[in-house]
Amino acid sequence: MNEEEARFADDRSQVSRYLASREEQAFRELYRAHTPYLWRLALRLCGGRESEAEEIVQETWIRVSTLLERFSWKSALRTWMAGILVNCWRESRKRLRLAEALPDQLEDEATLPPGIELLDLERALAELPEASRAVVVLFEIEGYSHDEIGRLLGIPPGTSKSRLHHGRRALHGTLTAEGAIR
Amino acid sequence: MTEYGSGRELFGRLPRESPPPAALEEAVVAELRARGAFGRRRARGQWLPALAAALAGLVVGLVLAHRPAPARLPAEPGGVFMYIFSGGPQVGDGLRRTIEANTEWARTTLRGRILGGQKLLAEGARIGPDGRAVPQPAPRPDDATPTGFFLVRARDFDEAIALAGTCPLLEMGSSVTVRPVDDLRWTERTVTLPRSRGRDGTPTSGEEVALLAPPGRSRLPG
Repeated sequence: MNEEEARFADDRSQVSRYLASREEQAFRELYRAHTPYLWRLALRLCGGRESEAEEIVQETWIRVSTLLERFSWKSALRTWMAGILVNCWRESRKRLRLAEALPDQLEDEATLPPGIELLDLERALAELPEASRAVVVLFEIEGYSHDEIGRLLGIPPGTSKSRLHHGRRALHGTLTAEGAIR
Repeated sequence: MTEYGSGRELFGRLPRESPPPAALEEAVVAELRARGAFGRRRARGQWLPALAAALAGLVVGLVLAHRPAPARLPAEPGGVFMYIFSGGPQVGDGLRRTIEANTEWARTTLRGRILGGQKLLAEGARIGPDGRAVPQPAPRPDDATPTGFFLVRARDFDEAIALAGTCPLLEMGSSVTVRPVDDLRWTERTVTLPRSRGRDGTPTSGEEVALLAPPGRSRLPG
């Protein structure tokens, strides 16, 4: 059994335990297993704003708790939870009216050189405009395709590509300005 | 190495997990507890009486379904309440402090309960019976003119009152009025105009028009 299969089996047994008992302790185990991942994702989507990330993670768990019985296990539990979290984040952005529009045209391809300090990269990521940051996080870190990102964020795949491009270019600019890359 | 490849390789070095704030777990658990998410499910043998009760409820529900009744918020247990703020500092540093305090209150004590809310600007007008707008004076620190509102979900009126009692603005000279929200769920529907509606004398009886109306009303009051 590889690592992915082992995690899938662990997830199933943890969820079954919780759904069978609905006990607080079983929920806490589920929470502790997945929140470090959800927290990091929320934090990145929110550009490091902890209070906002906390609200999103809390709302995610409230929805997960309601929807868990209907989860069909066609994807990994974590992928499903990440989708819910992204939805919560999107709704939160709508409420705060901070959604940003970026041009859809794809220009020259922007790339990022390897060998950058992780802290610099994390900080530059947090400084990206909201819309680009979401795509960069979901594409580069979470490994979603542009089609999947399009579905998650409610945007066409082409827009996802162009936001990735703008995000990479902005990251490159920030890192160059800070002397992280030359 | 493709350009996408270089990006993913670089970002792949970033951690995928990090420890969340310790208080978050308690906040999530407390919220779920308040929503009744925890509790042992019925043992297998106890399902029969519950099923019978549910079927009886269904029959009663079908009978009652013929009686028009407005749908009410919320879909989840509990009710929705409007907190209407008034009084207190209206300008300068005082106003800034009240906004900060209320934002923090919303973020902590009211976490997960707020459905919406805004600060209201000073300008206002009251529309008289003749349809004319009469400008209203700007809110003063000691009057009851609304300065903002929150829509808050609470278990019942008592809990809504208790929560409102923790509002930090109360110590800053403001007051909070709590009003339950009765959601009529106005939707577009076809209504039949009554006999006397024609402005130009044209009989309108039986004419169907699309209007916004609360549920359960297929005719306008005649």
